[in-house]
Amino acid sequence: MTDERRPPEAEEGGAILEVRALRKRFGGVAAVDDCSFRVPRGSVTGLIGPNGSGKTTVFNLITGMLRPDGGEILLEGRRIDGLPPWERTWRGLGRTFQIARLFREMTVLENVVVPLRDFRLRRMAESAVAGEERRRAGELLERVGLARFCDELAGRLSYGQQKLLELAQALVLRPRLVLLDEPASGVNPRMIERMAELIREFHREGTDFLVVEHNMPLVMDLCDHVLVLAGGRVIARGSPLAVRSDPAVLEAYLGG
Amino acid sequence: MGRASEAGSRAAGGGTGVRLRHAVVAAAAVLAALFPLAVRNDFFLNMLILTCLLVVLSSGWNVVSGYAGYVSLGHSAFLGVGAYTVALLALRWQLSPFLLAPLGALAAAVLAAVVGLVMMRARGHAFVIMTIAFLFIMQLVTLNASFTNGSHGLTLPLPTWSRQWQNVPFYYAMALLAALSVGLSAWVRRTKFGLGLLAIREDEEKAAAMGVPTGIYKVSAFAASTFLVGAAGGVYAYYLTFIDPLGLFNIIVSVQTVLAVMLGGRGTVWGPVLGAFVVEPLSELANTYFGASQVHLVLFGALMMLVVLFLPRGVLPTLAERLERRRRLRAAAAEAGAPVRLAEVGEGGARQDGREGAMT
Ligand SMILES: Nc1ncnc2c1ncn2[C@@H]1O[C@H](COP(=O)(O)OP(=O)(O)OP(=O)(O)O)[C@@H](O)[C@H]1O
Ligand SMILES: [Mg+2]
Repeated sequence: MTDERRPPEAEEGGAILEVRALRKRFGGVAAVDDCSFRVPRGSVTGLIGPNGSGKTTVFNLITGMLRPDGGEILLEGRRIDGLPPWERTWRGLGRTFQIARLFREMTVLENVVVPLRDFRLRRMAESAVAGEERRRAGELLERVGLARFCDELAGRLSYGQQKLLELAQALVLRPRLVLLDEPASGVNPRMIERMAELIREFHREGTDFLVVEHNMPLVMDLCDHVLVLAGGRVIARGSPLAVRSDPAVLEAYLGG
Repeated sequence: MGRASEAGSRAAGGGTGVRLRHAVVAAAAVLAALFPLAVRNDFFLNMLILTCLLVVLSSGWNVVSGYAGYVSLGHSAFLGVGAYTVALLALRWQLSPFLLAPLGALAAAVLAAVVGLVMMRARGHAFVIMTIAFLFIMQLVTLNASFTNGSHGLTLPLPTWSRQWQNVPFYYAMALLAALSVGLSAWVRRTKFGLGLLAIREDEEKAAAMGVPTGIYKVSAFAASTFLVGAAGGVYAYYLTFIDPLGLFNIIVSVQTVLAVMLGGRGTVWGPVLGAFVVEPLSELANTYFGASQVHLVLFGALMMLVVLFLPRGVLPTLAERLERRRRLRAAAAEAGAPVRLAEVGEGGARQDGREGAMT
């Protein structure tokens, strides 16, 4: 991470992602409540908050797995709410899940080459594991250290390896922004270090990240900008250090 | 399913395996082509024609229900749609049903795409129930519509070929459709489309989030799985000469289809074929011994329970896994001491639990 990227003023410039007045209720629970924030271009942004504060729900709304009750979502300045999930992915979004979700009965390589970059009938008829995506998948698996498990069923990987495979899956279409939901949860410390290293590497190569994480040292280490969510809305934002000493944040974690 | 072992055998220098498979398929094709010339036996020929029909049904069903995981219990509706389309057009235009079979295919696929657009928004049990409802709605419509001649059914033109050939042309037509069905299923499995369908079966939300346009994929799968079934319906109608709503829009045919695939192995190319070759002769046996169709339903129900209990993955995947495990153990013994970091090498158990939920 370079320092030129870091100043909060960057926020005024290009935002890779912007969320405006996003709302989502589940029955009586306002899981996301008038939530607005921007993810600065070129950043690794942290999204933290107590359990149940709506972090995963925000991810589900951004990726289109849930329909918002109101609000707008803009990726690189263009509205994406209203698009189906795959079109958002084609626009440059990627994500991983809080609990790794894989295609367990497919091989590790197949897990990565599954998506299309866009929709054309002709592409549906192409050989499954071939071409540019095959090369890209091979390269990614090499980098996350799973290349030798290419032909194994994904369900046979250890949990940490599954998390790494999910990272490779999220990156295969060369997204502009990847949403990581607790990349370090359930992963042993050595693997967490590896994960952080990979995130930094891919960030240097031009992918921005929005990271939900409870592991504070990791957030401090990885992120140049942090958003704090409580009760479904952003209560604080700024550099990791500033946020950590914000009274509203302490209040939310202790009271909440 | 069976994929890893395929990949494994390929990795283990299995060019010979592929060649062997091709040789077996070629030999089977030659045998199938020569059979009716060598053996003039109506009983066997009839059984083979119906087996080929079941291969078309089960291979088709396997595309949408085996690969994509959307279990249809109404697949025989598309047999009926093909049969009625071809029969009505043959009567109107005075053309051979063989020539019209492609239109039966088209009718089935278009209808599948349309109803798929609606039904495939639902998943799991809701989808299953809708497909059953669809089958019975189609039966009701054909029973009550005037242009289908209702419960009186339709009588097709008699075959025009010399009596000496009897049912042999039906056999070739149905065998061709069966071969095409297996070909289609194998081709789908190898494409990006097929991989997307497997992903949808495993985790549809995840597939969509990764960039698989799930809507188009599912509807295409449904249409692809019914296309050749529609054509087979046309040939079947011609073969029967007389069709009626209760015979053609028949839940038992759907049940046979599902049973054949479950027995042979869901999501594999050859499982549905193997299953058809077991289930159809069984059904003939049941016919000769019990006659009544209600007994059929009980028999197939019992068989289905046995398969689910004792062979939940079907014959071929179970065999493949056995072989794969043997190969692994041997490989592990060969390079003893090499670090293997996989969670559960050679343990089928944990995996099986996982996949049972994934199929529903
Ligand atoms: N599908 C759902 N149906 C009903 N309520 C839900 C659903 N998903 C989330 N919620 C509720 O919405 C609120 C926010 O949940 P969410 O999972 O977004 O929190 P989170 O910040 O990701 O928490 P955690 O840190 O524990 O993962 C919680 O009260 C949760 O119970
Ligand atoms: Mg969460």
